[in-house]
Amino acid sequence: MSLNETNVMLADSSFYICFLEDIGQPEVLTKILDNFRFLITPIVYKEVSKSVNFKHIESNPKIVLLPEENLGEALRPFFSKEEIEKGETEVIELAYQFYADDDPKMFILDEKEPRLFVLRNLPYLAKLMIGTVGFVGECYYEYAILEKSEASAIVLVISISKFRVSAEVISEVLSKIESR
Amino acid sequence: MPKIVEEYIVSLLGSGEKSCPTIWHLQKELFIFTKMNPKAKQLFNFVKHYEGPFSQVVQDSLKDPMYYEDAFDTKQNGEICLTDEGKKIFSDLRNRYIHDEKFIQLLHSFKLIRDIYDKLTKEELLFLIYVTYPEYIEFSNIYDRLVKDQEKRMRLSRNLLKKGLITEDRYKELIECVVE
Repeated sequence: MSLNETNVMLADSSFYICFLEDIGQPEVLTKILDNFRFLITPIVYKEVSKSVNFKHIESNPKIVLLPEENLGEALRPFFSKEEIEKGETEVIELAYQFYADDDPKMFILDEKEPRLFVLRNLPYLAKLMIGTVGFVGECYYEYAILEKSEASAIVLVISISKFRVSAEVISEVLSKIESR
Repeated sequence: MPKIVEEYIVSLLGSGEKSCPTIWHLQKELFIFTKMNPKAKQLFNFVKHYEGPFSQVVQDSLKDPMYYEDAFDTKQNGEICLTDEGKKIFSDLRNRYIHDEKFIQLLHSFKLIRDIYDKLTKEELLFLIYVTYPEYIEFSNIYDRLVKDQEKRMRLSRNLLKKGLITEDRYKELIECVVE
């Protein structure tokens, strides 16, 4: 996968919060943003804007706020209030729309259950779905945005932070980074 | 106005790979569509009814269509499908509006709704609609049986979880939900 200007990503709030709050390294997020265009949905934006470190990305032109209201409504009955407030339903529905438009976009979803929902009910979106830690790995070995040592260090910092991720995922991504 | 409602029904039915399971599915799937597209609310005018949100214009269009008389068919098992004539109408609609972004978007929304809501049984469907949109409880003659009855609520929630249609967090919400 090569990096070009059209690389567009979607992400739930936990992705942004991971860098802004959990590991407190907004500069890493800025570095990633420099190389992508992130479409941000209204609920995700609202959630992320609560971060005290939001100022680091607030005026970043690579973050594009989508004005679409009512995104996520079709999935509302199947998700908890908390999951909806994290933007999970918005991101899945938006990813679906792009896919249906024959313009698939990668999307970052971190919570286990929403990811399972996608796998079980919208399996055609699975290959576009990635987690924050996996994406950090890809920022090294797919996109060359991060140095090898930098990517490993970030993954390790994430593993001991508040960010929820399994030891298996950490180990898998570290191995992939090391082997490239 | 009935003509456009009939066209919506043709499009909803045409967007699924199989027949629509029941009349309740058709009604509630269009109701969910109005949640995604509030502009369509006025057209369908969903009201509180014995079995959840109900649109008289949808019911009339289906039972006694004025414009597309031979487009829909209700099978003996209650499933609703497009007839050959209905399939032709759907194909004509698609060809006519192939460059209309809003129409394409509408088809995508219908496909997403059908992919997920068709998997629900009638009881699961009504249960989820009631707990998600409690403003439609009034006048219901099945709310007590589906939601207030704790055993039934537990069973329906468990089935939904087993089928992978709700997340674990949503399951907890559903079994703990405070009912009126």
